[in-house]
Amino acid sequence: MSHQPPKILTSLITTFCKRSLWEAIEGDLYELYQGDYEEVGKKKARANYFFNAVAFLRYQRLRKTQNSNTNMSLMKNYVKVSFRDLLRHKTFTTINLIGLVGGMTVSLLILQYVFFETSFDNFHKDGDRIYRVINDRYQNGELVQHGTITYPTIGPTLKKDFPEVEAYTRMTISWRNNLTYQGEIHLSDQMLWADEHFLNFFSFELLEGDAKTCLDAPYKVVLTETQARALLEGDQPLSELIGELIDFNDTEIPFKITGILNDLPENSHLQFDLLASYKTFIARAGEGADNSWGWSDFYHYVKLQENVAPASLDQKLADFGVRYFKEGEVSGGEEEFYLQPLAKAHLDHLMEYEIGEVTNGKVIWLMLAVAIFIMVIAWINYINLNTSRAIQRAKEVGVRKSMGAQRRQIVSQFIVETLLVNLLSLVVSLIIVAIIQPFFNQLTGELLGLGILFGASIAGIPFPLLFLFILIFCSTLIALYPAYLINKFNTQDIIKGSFRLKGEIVWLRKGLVVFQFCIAIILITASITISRQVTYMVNKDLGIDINNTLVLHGPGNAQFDSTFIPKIEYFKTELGKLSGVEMVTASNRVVGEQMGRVFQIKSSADPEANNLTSNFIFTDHQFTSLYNVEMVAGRAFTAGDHNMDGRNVKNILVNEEAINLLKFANASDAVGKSVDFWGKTWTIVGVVNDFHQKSLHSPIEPIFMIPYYETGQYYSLKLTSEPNEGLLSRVQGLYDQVFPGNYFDYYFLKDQYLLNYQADVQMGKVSQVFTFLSILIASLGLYGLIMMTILKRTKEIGVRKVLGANLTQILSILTKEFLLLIGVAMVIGVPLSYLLLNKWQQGFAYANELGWDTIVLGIALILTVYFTIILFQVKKISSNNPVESLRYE
Amino acid sequence: MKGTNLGELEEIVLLVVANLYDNAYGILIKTEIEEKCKRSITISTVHNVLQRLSEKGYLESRYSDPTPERGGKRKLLFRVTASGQEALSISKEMRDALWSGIPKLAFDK
Repeated sequence: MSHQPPKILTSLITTFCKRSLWEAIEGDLYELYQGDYEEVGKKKARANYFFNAVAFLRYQRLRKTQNSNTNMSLMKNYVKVSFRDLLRHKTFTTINLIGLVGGMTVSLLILQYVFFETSFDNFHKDGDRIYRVINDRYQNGELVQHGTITYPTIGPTLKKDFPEVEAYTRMTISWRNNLTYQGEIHLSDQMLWADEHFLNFFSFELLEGDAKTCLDAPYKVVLTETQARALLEGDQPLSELIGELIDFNDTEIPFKITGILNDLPENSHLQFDLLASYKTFIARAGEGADNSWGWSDFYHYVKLQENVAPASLDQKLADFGVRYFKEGEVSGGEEEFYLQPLAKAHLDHLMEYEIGEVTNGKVIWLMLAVAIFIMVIAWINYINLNTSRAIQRAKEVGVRKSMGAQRRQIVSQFIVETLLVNLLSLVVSLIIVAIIQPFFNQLTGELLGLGILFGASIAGIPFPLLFLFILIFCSTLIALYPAYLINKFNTQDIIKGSFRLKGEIVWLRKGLVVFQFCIAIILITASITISRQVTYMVNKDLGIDINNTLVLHGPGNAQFDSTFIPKIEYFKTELGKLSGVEMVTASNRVVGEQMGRVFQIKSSADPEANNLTSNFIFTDHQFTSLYNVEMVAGRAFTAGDHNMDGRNVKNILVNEEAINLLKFANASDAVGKSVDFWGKTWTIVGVVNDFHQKSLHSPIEPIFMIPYYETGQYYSLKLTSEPNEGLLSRVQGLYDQVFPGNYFDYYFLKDQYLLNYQADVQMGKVSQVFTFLSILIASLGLYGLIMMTILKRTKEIGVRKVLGANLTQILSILTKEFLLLIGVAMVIGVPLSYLLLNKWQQGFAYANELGWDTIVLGIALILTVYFTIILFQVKKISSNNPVESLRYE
Repeated sequence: MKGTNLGELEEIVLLVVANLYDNAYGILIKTEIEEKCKRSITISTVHNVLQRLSEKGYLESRYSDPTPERGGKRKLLFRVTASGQEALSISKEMRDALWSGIPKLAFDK
């Protein structure tokens, strides 16, 4: 008839109560519980039991730790003394706080960025088993393409051949397609033709529709929520769109909406606003899209079985490449395949024909290094200043010691104080970050926030916890040094004040100054170099004139029939008649874009040169004159080079780089000669100068200009003046007249081209901010140190002055030490920064020359700051009345 | 001096322990106080006071034999010590002296 009270509470009592008492207490509680159980029932009895048990914890007398009282009050004393001390030395506290807050703010901002960039695609289920298939193509032993695109057969064949492959999905990408729904044209900016596995393979959230079936047949399409909302009116439910038909470009059969996806996460490298079933693509583009071994415009992702190491597939994939491509017989190149982990897809910026948004992974780690460096500088300052100050506080420590404080307790005092300052700094930095976040996001063009940090975790440990742990750990660490120093001294000496710092501390301090100065040199020269490189790139002559050029997106919805070329000529002529438009040209690519590639080129100059690769661009006959491309030899295209029948188009232009590729002696030698590709013989009618067709990150490559017309090509308008609304609406009027049913959109070529440098511009701005902050922190450290030095030598300066030393002499005595340190720092920092910057510039095919003047300028800037600080301090002390300073102490 | 005076609750508990002679333990003391003094008191407070009185040396305690109605736990039994008895009588004498000093007229209204 006995009832068991809740065990957890019982064990709580036994844990916290005195050993000698818990049996009696537990017994009493048990008895009470029995009585309550009979009287008021189980529920009430349990509640009473809880209150009774917890009530015991109120009484100190009944609790286990008897000496906690002393510990607590000591702790209170530490905190109190720390606060008093911080308030008494306001200058030091301010310097320490500014340094730490600055460092932490920068670190928090950088960490946001690092976490965001490294979080890409982490939301996919089994993401650690997903890999992207990478295809390297070699010709004549040379790597000609390092791409994420490959043949449509790869995914299915991998699945068939390798039991390790659990699943695959394949897709191809398409830009700027017209969707017509209820008579209104909408633009799909970027879409994927994705197979039926796609939605089961990846973990994109489907709001409406069934993942298994919504892409399993031709003419099925899935929209993202934003795209779907654009079709709907007001707050109509999304489900109303399911089963609706939309017209896709010029396709005769309309597409049926079978699903709506939640908008894609920001940190997905795959970005699209629409998915259409891959079977539609096959139906439109032919069986080749399913079974070709020569057409490589397709992306494949595979999921490996659990516990399969990707490395175990390396050799098998090499054999796979040999087996199916027979060393160049099939596709004209030797093909190698690799698996790229999904987590790396966003972080490798060296892949060609990327499907998604990529970033330079190295920059992320570099940023992380900067964050750590800045934090280290801030903490070094703290150690440095506190070590100096520890000497001042020696008396307090002496008194504590003679009152019987143990070493441990002295150390605790230092740790408590450091923790206080660091935690306070953390709180302040969090507030600052929250305030400046919008500005920082504007600067970086990223959508960052503290939420990223709070949500992040490393190896399963929540990041805030980890960060706090690191902070506490480092705080303890940096508190230990001054504590250790002060503990070393004899109590008597301390109280008498008759001790001096020697040896190691002086070395440590010198080392720290040198280290900070080195970092400052590296950061400031880096900022200058980046900003110079950006200026250089923006201003460099490209060999092609992209100023005042308005580009219209071509019509996705147009038939290539017998009227097409006359229609385009009419369009161009009419546009050219508008006032403000000088000339118009059509081309399938514009400057700044990656061009297509043509493989297996045979040159007539050299029978050995029969498997070459070049870029190609389709242009009309106005292209060279509109873009001011210089003819080096031969003639430009004329209207006669175009032909409705592609088989009759035979003339091409090449650039100088292509002349080298094709092994012609020189430009004029090449004119009239032939090359073979795409199964026919072409005649080179002219040679154009080398122009930068991509950003200056990339070298100039061989280019073939082919006089084909295409439906979706761009129209470039050379303007004679700033465009006004009237002109733009007349252009649109013509566009709508010639290409009805198409979405009208335009941009300025120069602006678009400069977007290529956006990342560099942003990096420049961000690095300037960080450089400023790190120099500020380092300067604060220096300021504090000099202040300490001078304080210690107040008497000496007084004596010197009395004996007749003048200001210059005192200055030279006080600054000599720092000058030497700065000299040492320069010897280390200058070569280091030169090496680092050289390395950075190798990322550009065309780099501004790294001049010594950059480094000289950087050093001059820092020296100015340093000397201002030194002079300011020294001047203050040396202009004091010597009587004052002699009375000091 | 602190520690020699008896607080009101202390005095009550001490008296109850004396009343319950040799059978005074937590629950019984609690119920006794609740019945005789018509006031409610938590078991933790009882223990706290018992502990305070033990520290002052007015109570001594020992563990009884285990009993089944307490889930096999022993009772901690208290007994008033000689100095406890003295403290009680000092307190009583003090009150008596004060009572006897009250002039008759004082309560005559």
